[in-house]
Amino acid sequence: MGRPFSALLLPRNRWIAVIVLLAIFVGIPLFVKDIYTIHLLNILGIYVLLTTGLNLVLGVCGQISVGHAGFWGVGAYTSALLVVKLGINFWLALLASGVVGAITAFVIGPVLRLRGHVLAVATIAFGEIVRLILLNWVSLTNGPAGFYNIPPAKLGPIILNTDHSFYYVILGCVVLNFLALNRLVGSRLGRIWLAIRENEEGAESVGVCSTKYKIYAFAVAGFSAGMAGSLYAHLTAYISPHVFTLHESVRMLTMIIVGGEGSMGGAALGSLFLTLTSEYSRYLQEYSLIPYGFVMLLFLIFAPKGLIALLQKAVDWWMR
Amino acid sequence: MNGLSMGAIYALIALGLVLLLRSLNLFNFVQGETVMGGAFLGVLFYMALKLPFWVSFIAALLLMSILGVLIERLAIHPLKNPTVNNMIVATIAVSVILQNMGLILGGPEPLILASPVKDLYLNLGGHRISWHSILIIVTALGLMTLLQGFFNFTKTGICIRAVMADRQAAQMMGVRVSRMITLTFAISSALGAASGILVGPLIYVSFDMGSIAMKAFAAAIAGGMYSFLGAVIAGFGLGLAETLLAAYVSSAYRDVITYTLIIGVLLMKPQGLFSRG
Repeated sequence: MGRPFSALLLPRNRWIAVIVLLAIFVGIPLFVKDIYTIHLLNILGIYVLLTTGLNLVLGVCGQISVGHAGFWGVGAYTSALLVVKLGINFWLALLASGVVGAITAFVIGPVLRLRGHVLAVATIAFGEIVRLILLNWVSLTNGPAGFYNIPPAKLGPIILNTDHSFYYVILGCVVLNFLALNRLVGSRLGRIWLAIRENEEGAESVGVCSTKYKIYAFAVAGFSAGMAGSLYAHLTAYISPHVFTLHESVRMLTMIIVGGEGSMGGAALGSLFLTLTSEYSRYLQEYSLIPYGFVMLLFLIFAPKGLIALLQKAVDWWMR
Repeated sequence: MNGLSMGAIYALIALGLVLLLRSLNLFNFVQGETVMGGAFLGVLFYMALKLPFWVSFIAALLLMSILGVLIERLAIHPLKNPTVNNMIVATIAVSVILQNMGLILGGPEPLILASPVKDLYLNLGGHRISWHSILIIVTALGLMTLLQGFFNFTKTGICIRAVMADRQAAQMMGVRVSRMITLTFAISSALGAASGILVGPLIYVSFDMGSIAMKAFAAAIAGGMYSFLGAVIAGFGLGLAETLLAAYVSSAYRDVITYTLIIGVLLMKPQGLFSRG
């Protein structure tokens, strides 16, 4: 049987798997009437947007970013400001948040000449700068109080103000984002990113301007995160600078490490795992970060390839 | 004077960072939590158990260096694939764990750590200088001298320097590299703890006080990441610059400006402000 798991992922089978998964996710809100479950799924979708983007940066391109919540915050505030202050249509604001997220990546682009620890510190600084500006620029952002009553999205005459109706917006974004990222990873651009991850000097020596391509990776991730921010703002109708913290950036990193660096499915799996576990450990409140840290360490030490590799092994073993 | 004493704190923390960068090429994000740990132990020994200040100081240093050893043995050493990114993530994980333990043990309210020379001021031509600032600066300089002596005149110190210079060569000359790295972790944590106890009376002691280490990270980087002297100079410089910024520009945006300066320095001179060429 050679490598059964790979056989499971032949192009034909893969499409079947995608369609089955999609059917399941489209069907869920029709059968599950519980608002809490759907809200959880919505939050999960937003994290999938965030982590698949970050995974492009960390897993595919090999660059560490500890400030991803910064892009998320930029997106959320862009959307909220556009809709609340300028009365712009939600769909345009959604797109604009993505674009602004990507532009932010170009603004901090020069930072990507750095690598390793220095890049980690620089991205932490970026995340903190965003948070501090959101906190202190009171006339624009309402400061620590944040924005209340962000109006819900509308589709024609339908107001998408419930978790059930907004679910499909998020699902659509997640699916489109997932397909686009997967397509990018398989493209020439994706191979350049992999080359940079494997050997940056080597890539440069064959004529790849690595900084430029790293900025592209951050820009794509910034676009996803910006959209995630817009969706988050309109889902919860309330945003404040206390959401977009360093802890969130660390949580996203954890999701990727747990799920499996470099694999988009892994990032989604990691988001699922941590969103669920953190919901169930909610009664721990702030302390719930301790299990996070331990989970992250355990995976780094014992399963550096993450859940997706474990799953792969399990399926291989089962199909043997 | 406030600037100088904060500078001394930054310099001590940065020194601990540079030690690990030199020996393991590891950027230790746990350093902030060792600062917090040192301050907490200071509160425990000095405020709660009412031990003499210097006894508490030394006890906190010893305990934190043991913690440093544990961190290295349990979290960093076992990494299967010790790439720079993985080590960064591992230290971030440890720092998250410790910070939350601090929250559980110390509670969300800030604690108070009094200075042994509380409310004592030195009058110097109209300027009031608190004895605590002087205590900080003298202790910091003392520790730095001690460290310098240790590295120059003891066999272990020289072995650690050998590991920093060339790990493989040191190993071949019979230096126990792994043990030296553990020791470096211990020293680095002790430096963090020392700065924690010293800074405690200036700012409140709380679970998130480790964020001052972010500034020290910047100092270490501005000082060239691998240079002890650079880290010390940059630490003092940052302390002064920050105090002046808060006094003359804006205290709300002080941290924004500091972080922007960090990024600026990283971009202009990634090798540090004191590198040649």
